[in-house]
Amino acid sequence: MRGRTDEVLLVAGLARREVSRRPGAWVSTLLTGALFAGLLLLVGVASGALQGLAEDREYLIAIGGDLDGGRQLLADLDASDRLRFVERADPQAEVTAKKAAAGLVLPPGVDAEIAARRSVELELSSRSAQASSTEALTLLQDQLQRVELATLGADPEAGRLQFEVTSVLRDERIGRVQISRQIGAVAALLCLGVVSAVAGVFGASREHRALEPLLALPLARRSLSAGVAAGVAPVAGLQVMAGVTLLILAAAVPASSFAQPFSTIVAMLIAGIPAAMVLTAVACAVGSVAGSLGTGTDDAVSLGDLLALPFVIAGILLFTQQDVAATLWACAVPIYGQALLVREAVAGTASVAEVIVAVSSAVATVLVLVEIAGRLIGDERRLLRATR
Amino acid sequence: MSTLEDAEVAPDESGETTSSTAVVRALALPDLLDGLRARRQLVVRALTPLLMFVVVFGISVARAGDDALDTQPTWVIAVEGDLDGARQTLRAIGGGRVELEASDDASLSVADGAVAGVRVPDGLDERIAQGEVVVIDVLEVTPNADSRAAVSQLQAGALVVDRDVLIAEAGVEDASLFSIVQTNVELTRGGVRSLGAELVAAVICLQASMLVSGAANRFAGRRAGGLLAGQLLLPVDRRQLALGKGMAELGVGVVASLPVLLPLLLLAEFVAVTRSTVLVAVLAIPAVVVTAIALDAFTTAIGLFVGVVARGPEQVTLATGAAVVLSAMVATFVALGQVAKPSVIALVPFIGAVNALRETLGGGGNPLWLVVGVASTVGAAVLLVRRAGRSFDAERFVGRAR
Repeated sequence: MRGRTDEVLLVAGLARREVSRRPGAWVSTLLTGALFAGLLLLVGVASGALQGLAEDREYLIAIGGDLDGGRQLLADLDASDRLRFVERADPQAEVTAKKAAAGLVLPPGVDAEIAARRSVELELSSRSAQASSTEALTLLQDQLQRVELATLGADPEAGRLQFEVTSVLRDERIGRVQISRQIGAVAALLCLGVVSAVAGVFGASREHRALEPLLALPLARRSLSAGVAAGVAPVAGLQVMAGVTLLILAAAVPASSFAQPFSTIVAMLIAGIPAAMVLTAVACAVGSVAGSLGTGTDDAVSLGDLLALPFVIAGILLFTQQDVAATLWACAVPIYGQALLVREAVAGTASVAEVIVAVSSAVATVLVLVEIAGRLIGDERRLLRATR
Repeated sequence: MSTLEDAEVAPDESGETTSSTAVVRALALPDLLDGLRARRQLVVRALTPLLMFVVVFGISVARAGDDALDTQPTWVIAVEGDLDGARQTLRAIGGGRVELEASDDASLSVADGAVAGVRVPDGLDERIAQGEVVVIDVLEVTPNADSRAAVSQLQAGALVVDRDVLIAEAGVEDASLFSIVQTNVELTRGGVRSLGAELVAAVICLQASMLVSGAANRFAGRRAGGLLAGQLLLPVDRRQLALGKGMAELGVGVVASLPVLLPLLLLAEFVAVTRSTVLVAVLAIPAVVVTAIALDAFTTAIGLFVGVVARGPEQVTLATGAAVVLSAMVATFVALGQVAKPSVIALVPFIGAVNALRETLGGGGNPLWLVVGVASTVGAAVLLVRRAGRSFDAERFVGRAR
């Protein structure tokens, strides 16, 4: 066991020294993290401004038909300051072309019909899959009900159910939950770079014929694959570490709606960085498989992009299903479980059992992938054939 | 090689342009053939975006569940307080569009996935039945349109539930003054056409972004393998060399994008034939092909530029990531955006072509704007390639060790 560890450390040292000499690698990994942190900060700062804009938002309602005969109704509907009526020849086409949130077509003589207590048929159009259009339609229907009740002589404001609508403002607790949702997903996506980096080092070693001498040494194949992955990990992992650190530090900016106190930021860093490193370890192992399969840098990186798809899936899942619970089963799923661990660790809600399951899953995944990568680079057929 | 020599020695017969074209062709052909012969890499490049789109689409459908087939979305409302005692009222005002979820802290649940939240008092149903006026705290996330829509629904629903009581209290005769015919335009002929146009424009935009990585990595790999240094010794203009490499990468990229492009062509044509005018049906396939090639040319040019300036795979990954993020933003806000963009945006490279394609396929745009969009995109691609070609001259580039 000791011998195997020494072998891995030996190869890791070689790989690390080689990668560390390239300043471009350090700079770009840090820039990648900065890019995502900047985006998150932008979202955080913009969120407050967006809230103000949304509160003042009004919807364009395309109206058509006999507008002269419905002037009173339109004036009554206009009482809602959220709806703005504009006359259009074909309201439905305007809604279809996304030039209006909803459409309303009035039949002839609406005002006269209403005055005579006769029912009139109104044509409303909207885009159901679009929330803003649905809201506009709902507001319009609500306003129609109010007009109807008022016309009949009832008081629409005298209902039994009264609503006190409050806009949820992010406090520290909510901000931490929301930033953790972003960080878990971004960490998974940042691992694409880790996979590429490790695969690229493997590919370059084939191109430069640096792998063959290593294969001639009395080292186990899996020590080679594990060593290269472990050697590249500090630089490649820096991307994720820098990304997660900068994302967490984005919460230190007072203007951000995610703003957290200093003690919470420290706690998030202490829990989040090690969790991100667990995810990075899995990414390094995936990268070593891609690199072992590839015959050159570009080939290895292309394969890395393909094999990194599970990280994309994990990232998308965490972005789109932010309320998904971190069950033990979910934590056991390779890649997804470790991304969940990052999320829960940053949120401060990771249980001991979740940590154990996610880390165990990561260790098992790394061991299996390193074994596969080792077998692939030990394939004599691949060793002997020309690489390009 | 003979083509190159012929082109260079016979400028008088064919003129400068022909000569230049022949040189570019001669430089592009070997790279193109090399790219097409690398079958496994080609398959991987074709498969990666295809799998990604399938996965993203699958997740979207799985996430939407029954809502994917439903014309009315369902909103999850977090209920803090006595949910069992309020279920009947909340369901009634929700109009069948809300899913109630018990919560210890509605504001936290709203931050954590629920669309909106309500805090209800004990025994709401009973108190309402007794005619008592009850105030309910509603929590909305104002920047979230879904949240606002759900809250609007709750308020509108309350009025529906209260209608009989309000009429009775007023002592007036009930009458339905408004009969509403509601149309979801997404299910109309024009709506389907519009959705099809948006989908095609978005996927083509995202597919094009995938070429950045391929072009950059292949160029960086060739440079690392020493293949570029030899070509730099040839008596050709560096810009021609860059253009040749760009053309070759574009050719490989277009072939790699066929598995995504072909189904999109079929979709665009099917929607145009069944839901649009004769003009759009005739223009659909040429419009998609030309736009796809223009967008591919632009992203390939970016990939080439990245391959020239990047000093390692990490920098390529960074630039590629940024390109994909920007393309995703264009797809989200331009191709799938909730508000139509002005046609004049066609003057902006890439964004303009995506918007013009959406408008053309949607049947609402002037095809001339598509021509403008494609021209601006190709023009920007050529400028980028020429800029990349200038970097070929740098001694730093030729002499530096990796």
